[in-house]
Amino acid sequence: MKRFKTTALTVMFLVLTLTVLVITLFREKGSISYQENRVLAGRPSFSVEAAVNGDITRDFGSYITDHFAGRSYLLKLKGVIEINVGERMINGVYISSDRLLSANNLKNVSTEGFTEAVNTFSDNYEGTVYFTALPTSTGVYGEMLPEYLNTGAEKQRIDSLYGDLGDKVRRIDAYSILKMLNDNYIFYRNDTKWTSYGAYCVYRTVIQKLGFSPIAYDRFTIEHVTGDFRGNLYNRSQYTGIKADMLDIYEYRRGTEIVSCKSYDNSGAAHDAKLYDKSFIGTNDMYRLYLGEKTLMLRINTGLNNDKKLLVIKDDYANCFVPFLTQHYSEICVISPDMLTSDLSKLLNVNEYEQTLFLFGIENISDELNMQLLNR
Amino acid sequence: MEFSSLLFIYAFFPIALLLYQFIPKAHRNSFLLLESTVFCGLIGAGYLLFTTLIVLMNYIFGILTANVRNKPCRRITAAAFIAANAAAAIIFTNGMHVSDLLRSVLRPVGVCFMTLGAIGYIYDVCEKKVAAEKNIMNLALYFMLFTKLPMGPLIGYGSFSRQLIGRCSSIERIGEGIELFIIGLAKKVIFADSIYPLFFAVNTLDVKQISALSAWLGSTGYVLCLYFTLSGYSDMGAGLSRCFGFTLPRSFRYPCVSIGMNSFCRSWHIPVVRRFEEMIASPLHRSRASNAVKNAAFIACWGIIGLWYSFRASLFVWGIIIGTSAVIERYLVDRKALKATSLIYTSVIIIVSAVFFFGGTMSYSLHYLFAMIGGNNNIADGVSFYLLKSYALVLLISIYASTDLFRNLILRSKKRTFKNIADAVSPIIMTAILMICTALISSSGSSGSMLGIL
Repeated sequence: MKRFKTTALTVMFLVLTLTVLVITLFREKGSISYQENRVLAGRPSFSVEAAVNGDITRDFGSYITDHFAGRSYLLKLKGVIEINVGERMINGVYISSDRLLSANNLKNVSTEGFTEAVNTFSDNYEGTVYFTALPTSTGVYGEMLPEYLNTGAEKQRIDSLYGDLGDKVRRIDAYSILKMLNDNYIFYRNDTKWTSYGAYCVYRTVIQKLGFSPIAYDRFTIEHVTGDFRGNLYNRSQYTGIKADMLDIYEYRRGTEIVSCKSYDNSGAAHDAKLYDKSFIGTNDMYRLYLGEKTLMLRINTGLNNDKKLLVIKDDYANCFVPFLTQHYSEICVISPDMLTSDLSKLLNVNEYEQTLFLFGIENISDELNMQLLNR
Repeated sequence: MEFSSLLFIYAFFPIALLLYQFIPKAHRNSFLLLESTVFCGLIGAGYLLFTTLIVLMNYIFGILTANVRNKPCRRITAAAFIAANAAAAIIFTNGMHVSDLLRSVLRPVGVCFMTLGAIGYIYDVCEKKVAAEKNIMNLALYFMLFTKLPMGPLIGYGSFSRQLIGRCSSIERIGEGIELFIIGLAKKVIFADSIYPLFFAVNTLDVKQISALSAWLGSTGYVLCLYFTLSGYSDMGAGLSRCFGFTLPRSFRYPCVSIGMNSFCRSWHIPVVRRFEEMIASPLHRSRASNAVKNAAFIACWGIIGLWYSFRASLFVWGIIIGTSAVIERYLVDRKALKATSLIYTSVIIIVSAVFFFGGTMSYSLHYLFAMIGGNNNIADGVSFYLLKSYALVLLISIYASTDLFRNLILRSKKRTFKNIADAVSPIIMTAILMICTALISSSGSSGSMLGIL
């Protein structure tokens, strides 16, 4: 009996592992994962340095891991196990009764270089600089987390960031607005980001600070584009027990038209772009509905002739926010600093714009953003 | 490359095992050394260089030591070589913080086990327990054998070199080895990784505010996590070694539920503890030293075991507490003491002393101890009830799994048919456990040791 047992196990083990290995190595490989919405590791390339410090093994490990046979099923199984063992948490995502919340979205990063770059920008800038840092759903719905995870760290991070900004920068407090309105659908249930309605609520305040009067909510026609949106928290946890989210388009029919909308890459080449790109609906990255493909610079010209020009420096949080601004400016230029690889001055003269708005989610603010390039 | 990574389980190990079967017996040791060299090289070429240096160094040390005829002189020589090995390990593990270049090249894999193996080898050569190895390939295999490189289990050079010559490798041993490997993997990936968040949660709280209940939960979680991590890695190491024909000693004999501190000392990380005792405490036992000296040596030995885990003052304190309580127990506790009483005080000592194991600094550990006795004026709060509710089941199952109850259930069953059924379904159960472990590491691809020791 013992011989049967050991032989069976040996054969099963070798057949299983080697079959999985062969399938993993030779199956057709995509470059992105639909469920996880991220770029998968590519085939590692050999370099002497990587061989000396062992990075090549790590890269090959990630390659095997990302393309592992049956990965999506294994992740589902992992989710089922993790949610039933210990806390209701999968991969750092806490599952509350009606939404997913990130339990560890604020990494312990330095933001000094970031604030320094914003301050240098405002010192060299002739117009006015406005700054808004947005909380994530964890910052606004923290009380849904277990007590020990509800640390208020986002509020603290925003406060200290605002404290580090220079006197010339006008800060706009979005946190209090969102916190106050948290009975409404202002944050996605499956994503850390705010919804279009959340963006509208903050827009009302921001646009007043920028010197305009906001457009009333009932003037907008709201189109529910999809009800199947699952965002980055779903990508991390693969948990489908929470209702999927809605992506809305706010349209002001009597407002001004968009005359042109062009996106630019680092080389300066222009492509046609749209404020809302419905071709992303049904893909793995539906959030790209807002402002379309991720791009370095987007220049939007409207039918208004008021000669008002605005520069927006932003991350993904601003994507659903920018359309609201188009009703007030003749030209808006939107810059994503994380896409910037060369000096900004090569692309445009910032002083052509009399106002600059920095709009970032607090989870994305770190020195990794390369903000120094804005000032060169 | 972690044992508990997809790359190892699904690529390196099965390929290494399969290729090994096709090698004629006479060349198997050389081939195993080749595989181990590849393993080290995959960790990093810089790391391979480091292990090669350790092998060369101790090869020369061994021959030099053996050639000193005069016993006291030989001991002095050996002591110097042992110090050199210890210094190399301390520089290696702490040098990572000093220079970026070193950090990019060095990988702290198995340094503690390699050093202890080297020290033990020099000691054995000095005491004439083994002859100095003339064949550098054999010594290289002792240090670099990939199945025991990262986390042991530790084995003396004498018994290892005997296995180099005559060891049988049959499909039964491979099956046993794979079974042990999967059990070890489950200990690490299923148990240790499930309890770790409990400890982590308590550890993120402010130590000056945590409630007594949280503190006890955190420390208990840590003890279990530590046991399942160390014992899991040891089982994986022993299992893999068995696949290649080596029989390595068992590392843990259910220490978490020990009846008495001395029993804990005898069942915790057995090969490591024995090695230290053999070198530090045993020589005194054979001499005519007084009991006080012997006891002091025993306690000091445990202090050094603590330092071996990680070179920090608080770990030295951990070892001293374990050693001292075992000595006190010998004098104070009546042999006829109730099993339950012994069980309770032993568990309490283990859980309390663990505070020094995980505390980064002495002041943190002391604050934590203060919290455990309710010093923060907080016996239990919302956080602790939440953690208790979330982890009660995990803790209970882990505690059960850390005892020998389940094993005995199978072993003691008198009915042959029951045993046969258990044997028949065991390959399926093992494969299922492997799949669960695979699922649990599928998102990041590996599950590293999170405890920051060894």
